[in-house]
Amino acid sequence: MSSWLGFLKKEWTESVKSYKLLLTLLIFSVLGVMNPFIVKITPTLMKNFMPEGTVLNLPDPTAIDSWLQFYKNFPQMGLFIFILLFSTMMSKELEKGTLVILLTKGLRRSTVITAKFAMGFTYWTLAFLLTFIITYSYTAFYWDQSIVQHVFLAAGCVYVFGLLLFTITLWGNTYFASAYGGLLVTVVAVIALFIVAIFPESASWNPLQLLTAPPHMLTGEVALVEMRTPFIIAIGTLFIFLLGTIFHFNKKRL
Amino acid sequence: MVVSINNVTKRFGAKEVLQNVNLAIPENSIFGFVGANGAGKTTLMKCMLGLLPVTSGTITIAGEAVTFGQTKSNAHVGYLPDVPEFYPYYTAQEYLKLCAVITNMPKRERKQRIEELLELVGLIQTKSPIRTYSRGMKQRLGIAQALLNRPKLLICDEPTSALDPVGRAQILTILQAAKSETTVFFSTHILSDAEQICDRVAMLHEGTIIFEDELTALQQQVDHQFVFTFTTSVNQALSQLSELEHHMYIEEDALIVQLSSENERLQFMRELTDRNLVIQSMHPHTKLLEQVVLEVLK
Repeated sequence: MSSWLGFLKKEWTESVKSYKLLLTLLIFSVLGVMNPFIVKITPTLMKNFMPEGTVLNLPDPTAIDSWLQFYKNFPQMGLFIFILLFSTMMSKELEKGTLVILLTKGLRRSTVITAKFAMGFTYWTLAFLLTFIITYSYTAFYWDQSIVQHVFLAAGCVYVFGLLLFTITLWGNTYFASAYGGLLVTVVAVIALFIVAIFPESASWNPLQLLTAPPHMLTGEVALVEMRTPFIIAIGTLFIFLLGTIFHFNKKRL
Repeated sequence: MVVSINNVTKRFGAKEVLQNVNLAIPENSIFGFVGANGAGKTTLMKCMLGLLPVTSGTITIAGEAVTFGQTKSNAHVGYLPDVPEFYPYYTAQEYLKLCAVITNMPKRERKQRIEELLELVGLIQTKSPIRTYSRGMKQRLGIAQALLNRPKLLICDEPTSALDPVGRAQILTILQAAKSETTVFFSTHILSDAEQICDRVAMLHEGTIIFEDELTALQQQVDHQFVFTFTTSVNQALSQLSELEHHMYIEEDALIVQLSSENERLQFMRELTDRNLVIQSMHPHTKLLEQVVLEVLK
């Protein structure tokens, strides 16, 4: 086993022992079930809560409504919880000094960052697939999905945006070496993207589009081609932050 | 020499923590690095490990130049930090397995080497996770991980400073045993620890090495002085010997006598017999490391 795989195994063990795997499985399964469930029970709930005699003319829920719930819950609640769970990956080790022994044994600093990134990537993929597959299965069971366009590509946009935010968190966490450093940098980055989004012309390149446009992709209001540039910029930024994290950690005094 | 430190200076901003430090550590010795807290011992050790960059100067370990960040010289080094931190969910065996993978130790050697080291540090029977370990157990595991890849140099930063007397004795015994296969460089501000096991000692004071020598040379006789104790009180003995011309004085219930030649020693023994003074003990007067340090610092 190479030292990279050895360190990755340590990351995996750590995530299991610190209940991250259990929490991810539970939270993202619940989120997956919640999306179609909320849509399914909303008309019944509305009827029960309205005063007697009120006539409600609610349209029947469709697959689009279920997916709209997905784009409301997963990027907001799901992404937020994921970032919180993995926001101390580096700072915890730097604060406690657990890496010092391994680094003096010849563990490459780039191995630390890439293995941690790989573990975050794996968990985000697991979280995304859990929520997506459960939502997809229930939606297909209850409603006709043929009216929904670009289901996979729209979800893929949110997935890539989540990965970008995780990489920014990892950089902030390494740079500031404190639990709040990563979170602060992520919040500042999201605020900056929202400020940029005020200018309508930024929609053609702003990675935030990957988060806000998918619901419109489902109905065909946003064409696939419009997401190409934000997608490329998000992937490019992700790699810049990943390389930046490696570069910064290589120069870090321990 | 397994380590050569040449004119190393380290500054943190305007503060100069190390000033032109020169040090050479011979192979298969225990080299004590003494100094008060804040003298710069840990800084020098971190520079030796490539964890901190030096401002100027060079460090060579086993012929490899130390560079900041990724340094090849670490392949020859085992390191025990002052407060070793491990992953609390691993057992000692699991942690050493991780270290073996990191150091690219051949798979067939791992099991035997890990058991050998756990036996050496007395943790072979311990199966509980590291989170349940005492400070002393963590230090012992720290030594085991540091010795895992059979390093040419074992660097220990204050390995005994926070331990009780039993824990300290255990660590010193392990370090002494480790000397057969490696060179031990350990820092301490507990001078008696250095005195117990070191072959050579260097002292760092305010960023500079103020002395460096073999411990036996430091402990050499002080101007041919000898320490005598008698079956009678020391004051009585001194009054009986007062007419003699030798330089004599009392120090901690013992009589210190300066006897510069063998003839003088023989003559003094005869005088004692003539005066019916029965010797309880007699040995050369040596300086404790602590005394040497205090004299240097005066």
